[in-house]
Amino acid sequence: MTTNQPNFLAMMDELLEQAPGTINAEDRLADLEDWDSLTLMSFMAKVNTSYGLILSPQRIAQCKTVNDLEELLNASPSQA
Amino acid sequence: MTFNPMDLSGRHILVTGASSGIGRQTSILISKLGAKVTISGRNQEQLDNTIALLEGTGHRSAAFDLNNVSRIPTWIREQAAIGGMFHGAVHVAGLRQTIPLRVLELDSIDEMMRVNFSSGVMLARGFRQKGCRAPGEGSLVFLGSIAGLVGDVGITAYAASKAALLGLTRSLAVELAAEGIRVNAVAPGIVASEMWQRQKAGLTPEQVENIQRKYPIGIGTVEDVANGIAFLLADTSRWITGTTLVMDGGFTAS
Repeated sequence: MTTNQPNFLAMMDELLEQAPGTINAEDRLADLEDWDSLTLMSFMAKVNTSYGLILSPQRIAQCKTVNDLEELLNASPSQA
Repeated sequence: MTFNPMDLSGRHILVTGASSGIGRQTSILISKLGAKVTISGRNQEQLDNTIALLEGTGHRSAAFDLNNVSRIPTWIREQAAIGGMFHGAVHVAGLRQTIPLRVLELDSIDEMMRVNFSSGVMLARGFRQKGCRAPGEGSLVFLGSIAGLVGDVGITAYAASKAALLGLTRSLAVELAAEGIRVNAVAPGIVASEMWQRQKAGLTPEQVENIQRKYPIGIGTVEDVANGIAFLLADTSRWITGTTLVMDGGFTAS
């Protein structure tokens, strides 16, 4: 599948309860204060409802940056 | 002839969600106990696979999407007209999604309530109609979940829909008692099924291990749950109505 980067970043802003435009593609996940297990679960649920994808938590754990997350989505075949 | 207190010979039973898992196994078991089974689900090919596993004759499949909630009573009347009046119905069809509150949308809540709860209400409404079930008798069994009894992270909508089903069970049992219809539910914990396989796909091995550790005698099987459902359909439970049979390997006891 192919994501639209502005939409993906907007989704990340909303997920992390940040003002629009706060999260950038190069941001490191380890540096994001609210990137915890519940946010990860929320990310997976949001990706499932918005993109029809079921992501593996192990694959997400390998992502270092926000951009890595988006690339993981783009590398995943749609389940819908 | 061997005495079998769970004999279902001569009974016509409707099973929803019979394409796989608990619904499929329940259909297989009650066919072995002598019941004539009408199975439903959305996928005709999978229903055909279930039909091929049933023992005895007279079974049939009727593909139906329970999202079409308002049509369920009419659909049940149609099935009774074709296959004969029902003696029991098992509502297994359901939807489980892990969605934490912060990303939970009204559409997802509505979908889970519709598929897990509202369809059960309308199934009961359809089942009790004159001409749809054998006069003076009937057993309805709903598939609840321990999620309707204990809380967990990320499943508020699912848990609420299953808790609603357990509340429905109690009130319907009282309302339908005069018509000879018993209403019960089973509330299983995790069983090794396709649904669990899908859930596991979203968990780390550590999370899976932590969950399994909460089951003192281990997670269950679809056969375990089917046994409980068959018990509630058969005369073995003729004095039981309005109850929820918890089947969880000791999860809620610990």
